[in-house]
Amino acid sequence: MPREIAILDALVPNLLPVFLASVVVHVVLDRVMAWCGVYRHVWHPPLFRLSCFVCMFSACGLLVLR
Amino acid sequence: MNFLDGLRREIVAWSKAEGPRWIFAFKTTVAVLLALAVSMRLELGQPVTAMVTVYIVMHPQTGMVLTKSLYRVCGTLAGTLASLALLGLFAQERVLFLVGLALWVGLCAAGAAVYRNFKSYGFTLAGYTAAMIGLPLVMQPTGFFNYAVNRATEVVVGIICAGVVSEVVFPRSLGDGIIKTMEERYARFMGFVTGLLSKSMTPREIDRMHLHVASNVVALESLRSSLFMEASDIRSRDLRLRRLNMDFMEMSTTFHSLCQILSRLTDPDAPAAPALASLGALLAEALAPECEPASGAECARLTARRLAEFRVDLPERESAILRECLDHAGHEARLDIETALDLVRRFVHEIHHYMRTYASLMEKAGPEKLNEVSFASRTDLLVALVTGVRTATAILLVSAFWIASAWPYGASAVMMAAIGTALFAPAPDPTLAIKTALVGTLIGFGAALACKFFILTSLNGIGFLVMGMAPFLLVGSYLALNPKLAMVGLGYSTMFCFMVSPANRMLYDPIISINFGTALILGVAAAALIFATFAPVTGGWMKRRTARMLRGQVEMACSCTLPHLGSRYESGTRDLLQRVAAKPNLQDVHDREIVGWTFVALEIGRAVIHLRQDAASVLLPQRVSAGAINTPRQIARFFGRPNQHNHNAALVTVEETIDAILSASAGEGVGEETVDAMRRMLTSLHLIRSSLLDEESILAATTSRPRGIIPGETSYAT
Repeated sequence: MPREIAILDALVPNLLPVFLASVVVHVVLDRVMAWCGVYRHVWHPPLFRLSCFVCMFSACGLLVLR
Repeated sequence: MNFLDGLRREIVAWSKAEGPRWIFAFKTTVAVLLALAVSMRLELGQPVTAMVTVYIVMHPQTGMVLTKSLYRVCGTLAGTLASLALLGLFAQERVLFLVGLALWVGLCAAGAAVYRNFKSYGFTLAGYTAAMIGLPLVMQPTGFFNYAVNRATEVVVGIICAGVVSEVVFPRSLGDGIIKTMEERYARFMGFVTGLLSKSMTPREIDRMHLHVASNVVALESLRSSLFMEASDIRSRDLRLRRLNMDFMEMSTTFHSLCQILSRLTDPDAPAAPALASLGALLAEALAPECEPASGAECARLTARRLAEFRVDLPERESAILRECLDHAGHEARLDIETALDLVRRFVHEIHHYMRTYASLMEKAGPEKLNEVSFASRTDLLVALVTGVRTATAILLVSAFWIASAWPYGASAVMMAAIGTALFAPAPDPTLAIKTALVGTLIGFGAALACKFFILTSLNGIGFLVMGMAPFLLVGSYLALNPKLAMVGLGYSTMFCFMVSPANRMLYDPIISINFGTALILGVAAAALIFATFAPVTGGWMKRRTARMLRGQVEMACSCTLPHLGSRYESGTRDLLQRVAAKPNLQDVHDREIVGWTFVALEIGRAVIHLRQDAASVLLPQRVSAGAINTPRQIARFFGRPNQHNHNAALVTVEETIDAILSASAGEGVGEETVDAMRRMLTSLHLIRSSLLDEESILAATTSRPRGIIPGETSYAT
């Protein structure tokens, strides 16, 4: 699979759209978790939030680059 | 053992006072060095952009960093696009390019002056990013794409580093900060009310507290608006937070009116003074906290319950006071007493409401049904325009100097002038801010030379680079938390980073470094000069504009459509007041004049709004309704053009309406609802009348005496 794709004729690493998509998904997920009160049961909410994002982004990135 | 205990106590005391600062300094330095390392690993051209980004974005509270970052990314993208357009239009045509750049940065500065908080920040960034990216490339436009992509990537790297570090390492949540501010404000206000009602405060303290309370609302609103990116469950209570702020605002205005009336009524010869004082003492007793901590939700509930009991007994006490005083009181005094009682009733109602909202917010209760509330801000378009023109002028002047003198480092100076004018324009006192920043850049210049040519030259590898720079960076970030030296810290850190400019391929050339550094300093100095000379923010013209805006607020209260007018009016007026109150010292005659104006405007404007609301709620007799329409009109005319003639006209109209209401309520055949509404209208009218007549108020100064001389002692200063 190619590492870069052309958006408007500019070469962009594949990971960039993946990153942006993960950000969007993460924002939605974050809202849902805050609404459900998940953060009240977590020791370090920001770390938890960051880890969720890293897991999601890395998984998607590996899937795309495989 | 004794010695060890003493040492331990010392350390605990020190860590309480200094700990948070050092944690912040440490966090900032880690984020900066992380940004440096990542940019070097990615082989980006100028890691210094990422480092400076971290400095600009970093804030002790996490939510602030995240929100600021979001706007920074947007601002950077907009700035990049603008520089692309400018370069495309005027490639290799330096003069035209500079004119276009000045226009763009000026436009952005004007936009930054129109909006508040982070939106304003986004505009600022869009302006000077265009200068940062466009200027080095005027003569080599072919390199634009790579250059722009590199800069944008560096900015994003800096933002991500700042966000991750500030969120994960010892986070200080903005949500907790807001809760703390709420509790503090609650406790302080309760202390203020009880202290004032039981007469244990000096007039100077009272004035200062009024100012503090009034401007606090805006500060809290700006904190709340940057909450939406944080991992905190207070977001789900956002609506209630807004409601609470609105309640607080209304309540504090009522309380201010009540204070004014009470201070008039406490003359020893006023017949109702003892009775009113005892009523006040009773209220203070009902409000005094009896449990610990005083600002807890449980305690607020208890106090609210006691207040409810007080409200039940209130009508009885009121009629007792009225009966007692009516016999030996004149017409005037009677109106005063009735107004005071009406205000007490309204204040008790509002404070009760506020306490209940407060308790429900603190208890993390489930969502309640609340009305949507919004916060309005007021900006003067002309002032925004002047800000824009000032920025553009600064850029044009420095550019002209660059072109006329063929200065090889002119581009850097123009860039710094653009950054300086854009970045400091929204500050309450930009001249002072940029002057202190200038001192910081001078210190940074020396420190950077020492670090770069004496320390870094003898070190090798990224580990040593980081270690060599860390002590210098720590100093800058530590200074940034000191309110007086914050700007010195910012100037120092940016200057240090720009001059050391660590990169994968370091360039150690003292001559280039000194030339470059001098250009940067001259750019900042030019910006400082422009701020001090071109329509200075602290000058008389700006202040007259602010006073004009305040009068415009009252005119709005008199003429706009009623729905939501109350909250729009109050928040707008406070927004104006906060700009004045943000100044470090209100020594100036104009400042005090404006603060005085604000309170008069708040009071009269709100009374007019209440009058209009009450008049619209019921069907009134012919004469009364004519008066209710005429009064706002006359007051609007007076505030539009304050002179003796309009003052008299407004006063006469108000008095005529009062007479009309008095004769109408004495007559037969008027429904109970109408009588009730007319009584409330009477209170509002009486408030307006006493504000108009008040000799001490600033209103008097603007009508009968020349500007700038204020009778009596208004002690909002210091």
